[in-house]
Amino acid sequence: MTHEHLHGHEHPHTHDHDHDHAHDHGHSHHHDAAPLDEESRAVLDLSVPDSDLPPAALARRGFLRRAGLLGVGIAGASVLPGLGAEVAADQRRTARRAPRHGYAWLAGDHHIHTQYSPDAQYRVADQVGHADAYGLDWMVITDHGSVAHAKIGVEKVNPDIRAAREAHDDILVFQGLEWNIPSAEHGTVFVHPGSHEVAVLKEFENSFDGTVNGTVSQSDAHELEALKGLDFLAASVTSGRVSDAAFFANHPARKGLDTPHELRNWRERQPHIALGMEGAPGHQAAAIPSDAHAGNGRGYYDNTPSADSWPGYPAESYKTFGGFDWMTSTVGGLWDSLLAEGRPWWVTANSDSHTVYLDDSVRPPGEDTSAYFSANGQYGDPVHSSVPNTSNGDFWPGYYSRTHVGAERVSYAAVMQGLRAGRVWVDHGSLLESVDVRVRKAGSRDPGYPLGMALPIRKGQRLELVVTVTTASRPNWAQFVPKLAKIDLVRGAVTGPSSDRDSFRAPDTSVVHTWDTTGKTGTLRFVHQLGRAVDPFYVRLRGSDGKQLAPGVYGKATDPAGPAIDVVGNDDPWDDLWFYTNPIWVIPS
Amino acid sequence: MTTSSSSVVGGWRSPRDAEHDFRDAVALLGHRVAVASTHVVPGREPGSRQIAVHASDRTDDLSEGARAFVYPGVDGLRGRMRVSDLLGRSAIDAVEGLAGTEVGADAAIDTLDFVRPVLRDGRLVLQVAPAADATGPYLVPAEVPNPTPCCAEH
Repeated sequence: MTHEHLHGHEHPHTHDHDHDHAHDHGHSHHHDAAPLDEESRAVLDLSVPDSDLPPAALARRGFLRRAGLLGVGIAGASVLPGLGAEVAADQRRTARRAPRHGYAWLAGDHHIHTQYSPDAQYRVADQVGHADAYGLDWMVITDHGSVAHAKIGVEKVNPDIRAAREAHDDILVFQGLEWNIPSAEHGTVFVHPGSHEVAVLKEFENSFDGTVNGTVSQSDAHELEALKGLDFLAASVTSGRVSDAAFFANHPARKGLDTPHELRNWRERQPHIALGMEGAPGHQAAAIPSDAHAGNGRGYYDNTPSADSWPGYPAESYKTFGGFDWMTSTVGGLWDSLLAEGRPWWVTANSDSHTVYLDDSVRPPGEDTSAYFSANGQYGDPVHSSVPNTSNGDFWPGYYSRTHVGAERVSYAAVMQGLRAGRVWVDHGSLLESVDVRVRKAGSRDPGYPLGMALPIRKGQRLELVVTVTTASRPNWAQFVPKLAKIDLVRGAVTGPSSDRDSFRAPDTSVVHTWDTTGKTGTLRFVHQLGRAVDPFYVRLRGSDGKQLAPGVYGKATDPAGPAIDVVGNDDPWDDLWFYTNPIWVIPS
Repeated sequence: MTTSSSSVVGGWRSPRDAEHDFRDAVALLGHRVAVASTHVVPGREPGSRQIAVHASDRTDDLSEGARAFVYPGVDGLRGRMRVSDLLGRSAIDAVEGLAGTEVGADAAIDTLDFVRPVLRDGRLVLQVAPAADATGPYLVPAEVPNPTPCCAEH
């Protein structure tokens, strides 16, 4: 048998998967060589609830379960249910080589606030205008979930967004919101534009936002509310109310609120909705030296544990490293622990733009109070103040943080599909013009498999990694041309689901190769031999301007020159630039 | 010698709130304690947690994982000083830098008037992070007194 028979719905609850899931896996699987009959497939397919199985099939499943061969107990077996669950089931339909002409790489940002957020101030038109000018191709308006937003703002912002779509031909503007995830942090939720985009977001917010419903604090019951919220989004797609919906966890390690098991639960519950997390938070200007920034952490990562924080997180998890969240920046850390399970979970980089460093606009006097906001669901339009604000900690969308998505065409649907497929890399300060990563049979002229893919490859096949990087040739928005100093190749074994749902360690993952790119410009091409495919593994890339390096959290052997911990109150984000790609898995069979 | 100690499980969400309420109560009762610490304990709902306070007349009455906010010498930890001074003036046994941050005995530390060591393997350990200003690099406690609140004015 092959691993794609096993789906990731190992959670004990039952739900009607034909209606609750956005994805169309249902009972139609993609078997290359499938000697299994229909009943055997159903027995092994954990997305088929027990209640749907005939008695004999249920007995067979029960036997397998008791023998530890189904669900989490299968880790030691020769199949990889994590991958079977997710990579294979989700991606086999799109499991194809990259198109010869490549993808349209569209830069975007899924985390942007406006005057409909109680801690922000700009018009939608301001944010879209700047994002367009700074070169973004897509963006998501994500005002905070709140009582006022659920009642007023979520509707009131929509005409502004539709007007911005009309006014800007070169940028896709999604409507979303920043979800107060029950029992956890914040997250971006957004939908494909359509006649029901507001209705779906409004019902979602009223039903599942932690602030609106008082479910923010950590508890088992609240964790379940988050999963129900994801079910709702999936059902909204299945029912056709919206044609797509997605969720990303925002600033996941900032306060220790997103436990490792919650990340796993979200992904397993709705793998077509829960797509990943911010690898780098916004607020990247928060620790630029100024009197008002003394004591600030970069990204406003200057928090410490509360009762709702997961006690298992170390103190350094509350800090950023090279501007990136500890979950992502730590080689062999939390993100790698998910990838080593074969669990697709993508990283992004966004502005979280509320109020921009050195911008001189302010909320209009009289329409700047919380009473005004509560009554109107928004503040008044910003006005000029003549005084550059040094206490603000954000950049405009596109100014510093970019999430690049490999899209098959330029459309809302294609951006969402690219995000879902994991064809995503991120950078700060326009460190690179482009990066293209492929894995292919050694010596072939095949275009290879792109980011986010799991290669269905024969055991013993020789493979190579092809990296094509175009360095920056134009100045960034700080008026200098960034210089790429190095690229690191990170590689880890895929070992199947961890028995510890709260694991944040991938001890086998490390930096295995570094390309010194000092002084090199233009389009650089590197071919790296990955050897014969024997055991499953994954690779991902990371690169830097080389200005702020330090051994990684797990030591020099794991990461000899990784991002240094960021400095409180004095961290120039332009002098510490990084890019990260999402992974490619190799799964020999 | 008689000693007394007490623990209060007050449903607090943050250690700082717990400290604040505890200090109010202590001031009201006019009682002095030798050590006081916060702890994370299970909450009422399954899977929930809350902050508890433990206080004692005995200076060694701290349990593993305790985050101490009253301990010998804490009142002298104000403003900037050298790491060696901080160790000499208080019951803190060690200063440890986060993620490889170097901590020399002569390194400057700004206490921010808020120093909260944690008892680990029987030793009071203060974790510190790198900071810098126009005067150069220094250290600050990893736990700062005024974290940026979420969804408030930045």
